[in-house]
Order: sequence, then structure tokens, then C-alpha cells
Amino acid sequence: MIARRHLLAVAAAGVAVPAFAQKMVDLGFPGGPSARPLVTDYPGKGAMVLQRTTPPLLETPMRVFDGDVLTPNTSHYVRWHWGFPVEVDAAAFRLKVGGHVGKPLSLSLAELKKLPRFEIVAVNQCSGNSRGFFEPRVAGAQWGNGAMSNARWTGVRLRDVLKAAGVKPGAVQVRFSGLDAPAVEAAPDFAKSLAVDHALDGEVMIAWAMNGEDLPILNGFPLRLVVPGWFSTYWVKMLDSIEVLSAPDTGYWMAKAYLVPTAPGANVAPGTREFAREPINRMPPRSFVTSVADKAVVGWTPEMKVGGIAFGGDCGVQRVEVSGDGGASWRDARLGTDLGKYGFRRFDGVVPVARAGAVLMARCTNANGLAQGMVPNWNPGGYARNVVEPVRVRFS
Amino acid sequence: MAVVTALVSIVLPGEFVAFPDIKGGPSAEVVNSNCLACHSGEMVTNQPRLSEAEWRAVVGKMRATYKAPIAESDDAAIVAWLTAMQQQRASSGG
Repeated sequence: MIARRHLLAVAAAGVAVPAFAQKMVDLGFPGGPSARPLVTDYPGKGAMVLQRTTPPLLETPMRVFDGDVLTPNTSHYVRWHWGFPVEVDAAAFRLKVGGHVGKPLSLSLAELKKLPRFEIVAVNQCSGNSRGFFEPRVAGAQWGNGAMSNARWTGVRLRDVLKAAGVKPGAVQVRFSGLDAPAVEAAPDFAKSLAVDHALDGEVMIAWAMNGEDLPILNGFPLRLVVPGWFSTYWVKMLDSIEVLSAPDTGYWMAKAYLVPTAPGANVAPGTREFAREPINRMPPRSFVTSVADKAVVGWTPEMKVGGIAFGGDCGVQRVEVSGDGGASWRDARLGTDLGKYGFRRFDGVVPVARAGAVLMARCTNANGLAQGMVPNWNPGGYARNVVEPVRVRFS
Repeated sequence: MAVVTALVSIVLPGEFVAFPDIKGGPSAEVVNSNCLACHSGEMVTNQPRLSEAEWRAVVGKMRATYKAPIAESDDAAIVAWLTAMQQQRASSGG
């Protein structure tokens, strides 16, 4: 194999573009910079929007969501805080379960796979998905809308593993950590915790497969936590350590990072820095028009098909409405196959559109009656965006 | 006795890519030596326009929270390059 040369192309603006970029995509962020390379050089991945080479941040291109509601593994987005092993010996791997338990465990993959099998379809969405659309803008990974993917996860219930270890009375949280590690030893290792009742709810699971195949290394081989309905910060990848805690986790990643306003919709007035905070948790409903790209130019007909994907967040989708006039009028869309309340749901509808142009929208109401709003939320972390998103279309 | 292994491995793309000097502005040396050990350059160049104070806070967070070994005496030069990089981008319409 001939080693590929990754030469640097430097644009006039000082933006470094790796030579492995095939083409650029425009994510449309207010004030920019919005151009990102579309790359195919990541093992096991097709074309991905490159947000950061190291540690990799790879975004799923929006057009992928117009296909199967189960996002193909080759397109499932990638997000790492720290470096991680690029080689894992699955035979030597052990999942350690310890802390406030009666019987600490060290489980091989083969031992884990003897427990009752569990499967669930669930959306894996980064807490900061869509951060690049925040106004005023906030620092952090500048994701478009593609830091999310949907998959059928296969593994075992976390409850069954914790039961085997015997959670002792007085346990309050369960902490999860993986094989990724900071470059500087003193930096905070990535670890996240769930309340013990949540960990034992029978839905939180340890997955080794997505869509019927082993997890790709980039998505956490050999094991990752799956926390249906909750943001992905809890879906710890390369999970190798589970620790039952008898006191709340005061580590950086729970006490300082990934905090959102306690106010409804994780929303405070733009610029606000002082407010009551809590660890980010359940996802709100979202929906995306995927049948046509933002800023597309298409032939005009008085009525236009509008399709896409919706998810309810921490519950199912009750209703999706679509609009062709920027939300002035709405029509109900037809919902597609239901693969489970935590997954993507396809929707399809038809809206009247003006000859001068259309602003297409979708609005999801979840099974708890919570609907997407028309005004974006704001918080300094750039978390939990779920406003109705416009797709602007011009007609030729 | 044979040792059973089941190695799964990948090769990641991405070699070290340096930040460019700003024409007629600050040298990139200080950001190249301080800002690329933990993450590649896009983490910096993809950020929205940040004020000098916001960049200073970012550099401080890298040192205090993520333990990046950045000498405080380098802060001024780092922030100067960061703001110049964004100014140049703004003036070139990017």
C-alpha cells in the first residue's frame, strides 16, 4: 500500500484544510466559519463532515437522514473528547464492575454475552448538536445538525450486570468510564454518572453491536453504554469501568461540564452567565426536513412534498406537522414505521408553496405533549437546541 | 501455550498540521508549540469570532481545566495570533 500524503492546503483565511478532504460543505452558521471538508478517510466510515481530525469529530451529512431511519454504521457520527486506543484485543478486554457492590466483577466479552440479550432502537445525539446555529455564537465543537444518529443497539441490560455484582444499600450513582484517556495525565479522565435507579431501569444497556454489527472502534468498540432518551454524553464509549458510588460523583464531567440551565428548555436570555444549573439529561423533541437541502433550487409546483425525520427525545413521537410558509400554516404529516419510542420516525407530508420561494419547516410534538418551539433556546454551553429549523427553498 | 488474541485495529488519518503565520502579523510558533498537543487545529479555526477576552478565557480553561502545559507568559502571544487569525478571515470575507 502506498502511504497517502496528507499535505496541508492553507486557504488565504488561515484555515487549515487537510489534503484528504474531497470537497467542502457549507453548514450555514451565522457569521461563519461554515465550510467543512467532506472526507472519506476514516476507517469504516463513508463521507463524513470533518469537524476535527484529532481527536475525531465527524458529523453525519444531512442527506443521510433522508435514507433509512436506522443510520448506517458507515455514517454514524463520531465524537471523542480524548485520544483512544486504535487497537483493542477483544479476547483480553475486561469490563470491570466495582465500587459499592457485594461482588466486584471482571467480565470478558464472552461472559457478558451469556447474559440475557437486549435490543433497542435509540437516537444517539450529542449534547452540543447544532451548536453552530446558536446566536450569539458560543465556543465549543461547532456542530451543524448532524451530531446525531439512530441505530438498533444490541447488548445486555445494565441492570443484569449490576445485579450480578450486587448493588449494596446506600448506592446513589453509577459511574462509567472508557479506554479513552487525556493527553496530559493530570487532566480529567472522561467519566459520567447516572442515578442508581436510572441505571437499574432495564432500558439503560451495554451494547456491543449497532445495526447487527460489532461497534466500529470509532463508535466505541467493544462496548458502549446506551442511555435511551438521554443525550450522548452519558453513552460512554469503549466502556471498561463501571463503579457504583455511595456518594454523588463530584468529578469534572458531572459537576462542571455538560451543565444546562434548570429553566425549561435549557433556556436563558442570551449572554446570561449566572443561573441555576444541572447536568444535561433527557432529550427534547426534534425534527428535520431531509427531502430537500437548505438553500436548494428546485422546480416549482403549487404543492411540494416535505419529508424527514423526527424523534420525541425521552418518549415517542405523537405528531409531526409541516409548513411551506415558514410556520404561518401547518399540515399534519404522515408518520412512518415505529421502530421504538426512542428512535427516528420518518414523516412525509405535502404543503402548498408560493412561487416566490418557500421556507419549509417540520414541528414534532412528542408523546408527553411537548412540542418544538419557534424561538431558539440559548445557553452558554450551546446545549440542547431543539427549535423548529427552517429549510429555505428557491424555485427555478 | 498459544496466546489467543482478537485484535481489532484501525489507522486514523491526520498528520500534524501546523497553523500558518499571519501575513504581516504574529508568528504561529507560539500556537504551534502550545495548542496542538491535545487537539488538531480545526478546533481553533472552526470557532466563531471570539473577543480577545473570550480567547483569553479559552486559553485559561485549557491550562486550568485540561492541564495543558501553557506558560502564562505565552498567553499574550497566543491570544494575539488567535485574534489576528480571525481578523484576517473576517477581512477576507470568510
